Amino acid sequence: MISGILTSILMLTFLGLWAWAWSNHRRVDFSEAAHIPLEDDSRPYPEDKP
Amino acid sequence: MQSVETYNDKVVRQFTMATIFWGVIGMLVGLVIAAQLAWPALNFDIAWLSYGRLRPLHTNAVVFAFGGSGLFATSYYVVQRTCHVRLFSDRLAAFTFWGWQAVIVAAVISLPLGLTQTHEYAELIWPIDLLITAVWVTYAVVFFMTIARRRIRHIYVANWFFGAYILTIAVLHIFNNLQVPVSWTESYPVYSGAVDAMVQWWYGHNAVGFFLTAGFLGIMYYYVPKQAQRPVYSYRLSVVHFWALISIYMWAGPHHLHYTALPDWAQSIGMVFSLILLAPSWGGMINGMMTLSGAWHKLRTDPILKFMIVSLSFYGMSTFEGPMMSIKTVNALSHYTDWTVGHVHAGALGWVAFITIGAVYSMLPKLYGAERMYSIKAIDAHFWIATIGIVLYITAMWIAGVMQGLMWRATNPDGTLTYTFIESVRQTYPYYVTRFVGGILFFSGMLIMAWNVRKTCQMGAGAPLVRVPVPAHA
Repeated sequence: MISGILTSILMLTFLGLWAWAWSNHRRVDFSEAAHIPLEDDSRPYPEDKP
Repeated sequence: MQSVETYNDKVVRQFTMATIFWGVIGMLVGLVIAAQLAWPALNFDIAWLSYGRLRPLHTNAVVFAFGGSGLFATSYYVVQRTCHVRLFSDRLAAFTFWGWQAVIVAAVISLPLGLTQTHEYAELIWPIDLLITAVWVTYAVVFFMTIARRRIRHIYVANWFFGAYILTIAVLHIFNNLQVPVSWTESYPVYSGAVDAMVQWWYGHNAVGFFLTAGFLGIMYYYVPKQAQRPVYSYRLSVVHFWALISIYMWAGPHHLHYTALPDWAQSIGMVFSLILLAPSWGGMINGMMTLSGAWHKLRTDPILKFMIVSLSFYGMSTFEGPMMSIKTVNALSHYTDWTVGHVHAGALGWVAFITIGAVYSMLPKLYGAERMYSIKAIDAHFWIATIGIVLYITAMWIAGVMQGLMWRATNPDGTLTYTFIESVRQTYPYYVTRFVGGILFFSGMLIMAWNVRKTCQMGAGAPLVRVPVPAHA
C-alpha cells in the first residue's frame, strides 16, 4: 500500500518534471541559459581598456 | 577609478598541471601492476612493490589525484565563467589545492607501506580521511559561495552536476569512513558484516556515479558546447537528465554484492535500479553527441572534439554494459572475472580520461595566453594512440573475463569442477600481455600530452588576467 503510494508520487513528480521542462514559458529562459558557455571568456583586461 | 574584477585562474592552472602530473604517475603505476600480472616476478619480492599495495595506489592516483584534480580545475574554471564572478575566496581555494596535494602525497607514502582501511576506493587511513573531509568541506564552501554570489540569474546545468558531485561525495566519504581509531594508523569500522558491505558499496558505486559520472558530466555540459561553438542540443533534456540520474544512481550499489550474504531483495533492488539507469545515462550521452548535429564536419579538423565525442561513445558503451552486467544471471558469469576490470577501464579510460583530456586541451591555451595548443598534430596522434590502447585493453579483458567465468563454472558429469583455478590463470596470460600493451599505448599518449602542454606554456604570453564581464546595464 505505502510502497504503491510512494511509487505513484515519484512517478507523478517525474512526469511533472518533464511537463515543467517542456512547458512553453521555460523556452526563452532555457535558450538563454544554453548560450552561457558560448560567451567570450578570453578578454585579458589590459588590452580592452579604452 | 574602479578596480577591475578578474577570474581566479591561478588555482585552475595549478590543478590543471596536477591533473597531467598525477595522470602520468597514476597510469605508470597501473602499467607496473599490469606487468606484474603478466610477469609476477616483477614484484622483486619487495613488500612495498607487491600488487596488493600498488593496486590501491593506482586506483587512488588515477581516480582521486588525476580525476580529482581535473574536476577541481574544471569546476573552478566553469563556475566562474558561467556565474560571471570571481571564485569566492582565494585563500580557501588555495587551501583546497595544497590540501588535496597533501592528501595525495600521504596516499603515495601510506599505501605502499601497507597502511589501509581495506575498503575498496576508501583505503586511506583515518588521519588522511580527516584531511580529506577538511579539504572537501572547504571545496563545497568555495563552490557554493561562488554560486551564491553569481551575477547571472540562472545556474547553468554544468554547475548543477558539479554541485551534486561535491555534496554527494561529502556525504559518502563521511559515512563510509566512520571508524573507531585504536592507534594513529589503525581503526575499526562502526559497521560490521553485511551492513559494512552494503555501506561500502553504497559508497563505492556512488563514487562511480557522482565522482566519475556526475562530475565529468559537468565537464561535458560546458566544454562540449564550448569546443563545438554551439549550445547544448536540448537544455530541457539536460534538466530531466540531471534529476533522473541523481535520483536513480543512489540505489544501484547492491549490484556489487550479487550472490553474497546481502539479502536477496536488496540485490534485486540494486539490479532494477541499475537497469533503469540506462535511460538517463543514454539521455545524457545523446544530448552531448547531438550538440554536434549540423556540425559533424568539425570532427574532421578538431582532434579535441574527437576526444570529447569518443568519450561520450565510451560513456554510452559502458553505461549499456553496466546495467547488463548487473542482471543477476549475467553477473553470475562476469563477477570476480577480468570482464569487470575491462568494464571499469572502458569507463575510466574511455569516458573519464578522454573527457578530461579534451577539457584540458580546450582550456589550457587560454590559461597560458596562447592562441592554441602548440601542436594540433600531436593531439591527433595522442587521440589515435590512446583509442587503440583502450580498444586493446577492453577487448583483451572481455575475452579473458568470459573465458574465466566459463572455466570456473564448468563441471564434469560427476559434479566435480572441470578446471582448477590455476588453469584459468594460465589461460589468461596472453590477455594480460595484450592489456599491458594497450596500457603502454595509453600511457604514451599521456607523455605526448605532457610534452605538448610544456611547449604550449613556453609559447604562451604567460598567465593572463581575465576580466569578469560587466553586466550590460551597469
